[in-house]
Amino acid sequence: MSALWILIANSFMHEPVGYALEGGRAVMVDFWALVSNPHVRLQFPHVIAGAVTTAAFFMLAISAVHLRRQTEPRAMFRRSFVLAAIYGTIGVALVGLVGHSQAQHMVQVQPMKMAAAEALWESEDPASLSLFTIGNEPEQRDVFAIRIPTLLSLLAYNRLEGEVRGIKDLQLEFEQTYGPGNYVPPVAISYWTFRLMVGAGLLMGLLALLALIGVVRERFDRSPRLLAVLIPAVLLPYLANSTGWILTEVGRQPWIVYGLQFTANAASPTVTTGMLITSIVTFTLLYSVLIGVAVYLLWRNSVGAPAAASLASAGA
Amino acid sequence: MNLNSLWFVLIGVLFIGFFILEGFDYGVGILTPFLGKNDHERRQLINTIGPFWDANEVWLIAAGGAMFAAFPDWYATLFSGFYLALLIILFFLILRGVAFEFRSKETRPNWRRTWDWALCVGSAVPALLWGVALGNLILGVPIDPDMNYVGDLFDLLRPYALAYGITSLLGFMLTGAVFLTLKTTGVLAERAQRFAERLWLPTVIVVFLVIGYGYFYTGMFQRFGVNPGIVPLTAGAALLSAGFLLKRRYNGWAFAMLLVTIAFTLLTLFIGLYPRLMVSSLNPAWSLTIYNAASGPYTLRVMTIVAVIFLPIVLAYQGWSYWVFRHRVTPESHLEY
Repeated sequence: MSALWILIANSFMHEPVGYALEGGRAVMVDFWALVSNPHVRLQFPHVIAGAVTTAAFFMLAISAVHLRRQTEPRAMFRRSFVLAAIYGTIGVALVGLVGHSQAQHMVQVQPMKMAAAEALWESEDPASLSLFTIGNEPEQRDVFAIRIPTLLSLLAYNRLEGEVRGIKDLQLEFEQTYGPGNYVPPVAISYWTFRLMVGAGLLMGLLALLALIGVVRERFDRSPRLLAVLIPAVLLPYLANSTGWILTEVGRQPWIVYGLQFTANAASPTVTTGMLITSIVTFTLLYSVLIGVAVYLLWRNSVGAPAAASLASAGA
Repeated sequence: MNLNSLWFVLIGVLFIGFFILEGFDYGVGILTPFLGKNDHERRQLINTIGPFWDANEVWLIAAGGAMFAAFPDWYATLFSGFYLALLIILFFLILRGVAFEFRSKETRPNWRRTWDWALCVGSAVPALLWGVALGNLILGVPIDPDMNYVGDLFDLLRPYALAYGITSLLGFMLTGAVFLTLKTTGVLAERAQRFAERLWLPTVIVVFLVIGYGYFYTGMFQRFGVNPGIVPLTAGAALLSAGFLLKRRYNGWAFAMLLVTIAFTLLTLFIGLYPRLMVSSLNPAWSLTIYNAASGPYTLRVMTIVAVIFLPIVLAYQGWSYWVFRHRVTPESHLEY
């Protein structure tokens, strides 16, 4: 429920609905439009499936550590592995399917984000999918690129043709609609976070499938390589979640509310740059310490010395 | 009553709920390293508020959320204007929040001592600064005609506002100590009792000095006239009675009276403000009010429907959690935190 309402608020920033402008200020006029925003219907399942996937890979990694060490009770770690393998497969499949629909939706409502995520400078029909691009962002051109013809159109429209608009065309179109300005988000960040998110997702899909096959064949606890690979794989869902959020927020720039308000205009006039730097430095330091402590405690309580772990969980 | 006034009242109720609930658990947090002489005693103290403190803090989040939705200009002026002050509060609240969770997950004495102090300081700084913030609301702050706060952090930390901070700090410590006499047993309860009895008089003196001075010093209190009326007098009388009740060991009543003191002090503040939300010290006409800072009527209507449905549910389950954990924490109790 928390995720739902947070994403209803976030979706308004991507696809504003249910409002009217009164004297330069957006006023809510339709609560249900806000709640049933098409953007929420895709973003919410994507985030929830991402959360399930994260939990599953977390459990897989901890189970893998204990199965390798042959910690007792082994039956418990076998059960947690089986459960996590099933959840992980379902979770990552849903993330991917919903993510695909989200990307198709993005082509419709936020074409600039898709163009940036694909480093697509010119409009193409049928459009090609970039496999690897090193671009020159200021001059808006490729330095080196490997592209697969037609694949982007296929992904965007489920058919072999269809125009996917490029950054330069969209820039011209936005200038006509909203007046002069730069409407191109940071392309390199959008492009690489998209690659990292999808890459991590595909890798997780593969690993979840291998884990599931191991479960079906009843040999997962005797495959040292599978178990060894699943331990560092705990980082993948965090990588995918973070890059996904960076992509969706950075790719929306220069807007804070798409088509309505620029990020630059959303800043408080009374909050100075110095204050912002103070707060971001403070929080970065504080959270770095807290992450350190949290990882240490998680480590101790999940895979550290078993005696200490049971002591702590018994509340001694 | 129109919806603007209704939401002013509701936000007032949320703040009062926050201060009467979180007040005593700040107090317990501050007193933990002082009243608990060893690790086991400190754990008992922390466990008296362990099951409650986070739900108590949610009242603040609800109040902030309601401000954001009902009076967005109030939220914008306050949160942007008090940016650094709120950053400091948030920093210490984060420290305090994790201290509860981290403290007993490790057995090394240094580890536990560190988090005990994080809990203490993390409770003391917000307890002080919330008083400063309320003081500034009473005194008024420099707000220009565009609803922008034009002062800086040190304008907020002026001596008279700090005096309000010391008042809230002492008041919360006193309430926390009395709460501990009700929720612990044996030596701990005795120690809390002695501390509460000793703290009562200084608290009374500071409260009456600060409020008395404010009565003549700020425009806020001129509104109440020579006879301030039943609300502030109730707050004062409740505070005085708490001391006598404590002496006679009617601690449950003393605790109730301290909650009445906190509630009626805030009620006085909100009555004094109404219909203003933030007073401009530059020009009264530039103050934020429940009309010029409000959302559209449709938003207020939707919020009212949501509140009518969900507020009773929230109140019911929070009340239930207090019922479940109504017993005293003894040395033999299971200590979760």
